[in-house]
Amino acid sequence: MTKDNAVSVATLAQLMPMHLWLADSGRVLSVGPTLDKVVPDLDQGLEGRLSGARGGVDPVAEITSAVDHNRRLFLRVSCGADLVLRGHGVRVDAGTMLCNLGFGIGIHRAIRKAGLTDGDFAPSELAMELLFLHEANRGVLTELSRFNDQLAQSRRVALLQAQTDPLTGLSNRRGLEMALAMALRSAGDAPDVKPVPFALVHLDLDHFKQVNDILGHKAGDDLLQAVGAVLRSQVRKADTAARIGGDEFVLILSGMTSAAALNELAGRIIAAIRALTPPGLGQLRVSASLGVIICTDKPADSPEILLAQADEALYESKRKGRGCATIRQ
Amino acid sequence: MNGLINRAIEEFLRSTYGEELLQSVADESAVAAGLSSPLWVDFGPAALNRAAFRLAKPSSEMFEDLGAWMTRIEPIRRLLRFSGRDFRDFLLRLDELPGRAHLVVPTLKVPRLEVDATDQTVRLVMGDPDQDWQFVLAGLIRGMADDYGALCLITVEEGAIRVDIWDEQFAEGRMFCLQGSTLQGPAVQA
Repeated sequence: MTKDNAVSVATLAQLMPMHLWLADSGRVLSVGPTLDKVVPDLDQGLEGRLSGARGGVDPVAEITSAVDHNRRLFLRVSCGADLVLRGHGVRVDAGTMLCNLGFGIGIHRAIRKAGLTDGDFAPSELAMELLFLHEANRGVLTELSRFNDQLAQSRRVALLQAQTDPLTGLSNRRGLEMALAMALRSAGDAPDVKPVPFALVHLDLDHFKQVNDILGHKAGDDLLQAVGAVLRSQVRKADTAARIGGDEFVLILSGMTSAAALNELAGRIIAAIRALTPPGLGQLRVSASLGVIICTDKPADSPEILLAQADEALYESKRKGRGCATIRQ
Repeated sequence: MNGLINRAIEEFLRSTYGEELLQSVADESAVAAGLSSPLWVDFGPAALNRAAFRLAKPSSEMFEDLGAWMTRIEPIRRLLRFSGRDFRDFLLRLDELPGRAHLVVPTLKVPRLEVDATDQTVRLVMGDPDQDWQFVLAGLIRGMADDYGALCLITVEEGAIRVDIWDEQFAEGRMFCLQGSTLQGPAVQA
């Protein structure tokens, strides 16, 4: 290398585009072309352009120490981006040191800073593979998270559908059971949480069978849909309205404990449902019978028992002549 | 990860031929698979064959177009450009393709390739001959020749693809810089 410097520097540059060759004094003998792009004017001297990245600040002292102790070399690029070069160095002859540097994980910053291209890296380096892997991973991850979002979305839709009555858009029996379990939990379970009382309403249409028999099932379905709309309009957002089968509906009314208010609500619902009576039923009027139970802080009862109690109240309304509500504390 | 391939096929059909064709292919696949709803259809290679049949195109052309389409999707194009500094280098290093695919998606099966290069001709010999892959690859090479600005003749032979390079710098290739844009779309975009 010392015999014919001109040739060796050129071949060195070709072989090791990130090399730095310097005299012990710090005088720079040769800088690889890629290193020159990343740290411009490095051949003018290391001072102010590089510094030790692990404690020592004087770059030449840092390099000398690393070479003499056979340690890894870490050098911070002074201007601009937060860039640390790493590498190692050897003595090639008395009084000079040859270092080969690389970017490590900071390669993206180096590329951005110096606008590096494929040609700036030695073929033996894994720079291109690292960049490839980085972008490929990002692409695959983006796709995977898209898959995930889609799955989560489908799951939400499926859950909602599983709890919805397709005819009326109200909850179905499964939805009601979940809502009732929730209401019971907030009414009793946690001792430190103030229980939220609620009213459970069981509603059954009067003379629905005749609508089906006389006017056909289409008229029956239309009526059920209209009743669904009435119930939806009469409950608040925090309440639940469900159709649990045939012409049976259930409401869970959160915080409703006033018998007077419930009576009034029942009256509004019955009036609205009477108004839905389709023409062609003769003397018959469609109406509704309601059984209401008020669940305050006590309920140790299971959902099934509560529903059975509401059902009992409903049958009392039927016995009383239909088209009315029975409310039990 | 068949999902990635299926999604590429789906997006290719959608962006090239529109939602209507995609829907009819999905319906047909659902019927063939005995499913009640086309919601659950996967757009596998069979979907490409169905689409080709509907469009009265040879299947091979369909697979080739898919390969060429992939090179126009920026993130995929970038990955391919990382694999070679010029068109010839890209061809010579195509034998790395299975390894690269494996690095990213270990379950993705990409057929082995052997590169056999003479002066102006590069032959890519398929390790396990697979017609579909062969045409996808031919399309991919066609797209990347455009990308690098090279003029070449691509011939699909028995179990191999032959590329005769006439002029490596025939046209100005598309821009490529290592750092890319910070805002990158998904791996496949409509």
